[in-house]
Amino acid sequence: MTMLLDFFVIFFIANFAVAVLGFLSVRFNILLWLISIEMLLFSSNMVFLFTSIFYDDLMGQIYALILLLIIAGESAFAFILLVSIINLEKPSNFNYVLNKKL
Amino acid sequence: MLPFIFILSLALLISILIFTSLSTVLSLIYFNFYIILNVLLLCYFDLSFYGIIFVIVYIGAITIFFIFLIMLIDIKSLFNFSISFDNFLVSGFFLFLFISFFFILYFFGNFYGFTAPLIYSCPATNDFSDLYLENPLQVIGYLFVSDFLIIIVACFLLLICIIIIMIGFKESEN
Repeated sequence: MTMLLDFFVIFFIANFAVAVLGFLSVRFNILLWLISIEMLLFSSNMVFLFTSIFYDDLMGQIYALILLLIIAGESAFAFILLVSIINLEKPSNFNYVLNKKL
Repeated sequence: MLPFIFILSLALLISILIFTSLSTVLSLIYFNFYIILNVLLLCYFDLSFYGIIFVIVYIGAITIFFIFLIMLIDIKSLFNFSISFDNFLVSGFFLFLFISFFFILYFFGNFYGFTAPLIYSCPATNDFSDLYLENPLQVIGYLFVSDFLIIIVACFLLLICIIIIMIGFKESEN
């Protein structure tokens, strides 16, 4: 059982590393930055859930739900900021928000 | 063990494809695939409730936020790549693998006899003797209104503050 848990944890750490590398490698694409942050939080959330399954403990599931609320708030706040940026900027400068090729 | 390796390696590959795709729309589609593959794992560990919540939050809310943003911005700048058969070949291959996985599960049943633990315990409040709580979800609901009430109320207040900030932003722009 613990071997299977190690297997899951290693894979989610790999997902975490991929998200970190994606955050660092992608430049001037705010949506991909947000997706990488979501992936970071999602992989940590999955580690909480799988440890709660394998150690027969409910605390991980409770913290996963609390973390899910924080994820929803974070994405809503990012949405507000991006909408305000889009409304303030000129339409010709939108490329720096989403376009990779600068 | 093999289906787990299949699902997780596919999820890892898709997570790499999120950052290497040519368009942001394609990366959003890969992000949805990534979420669904992980939700499948949760469903086979008897955590289908969390799987449904993840689908609602990530695909129903966060992806829709991103799609709203893409719709607000000039869409022509997003489709720089030429639409041809090669662009859809990779996504079609992943879709084929994803659908074939369901057939594998249908024919082979569960994951080689692995069953998730049915009885959960919680070190915070071990004494549920005076309550009739047989389902883990009932225990979580009881803990939310008893021990974790302050944290949950704080999270709800955070969400309400975000909504008020959003209205404030709009009013200040006008």
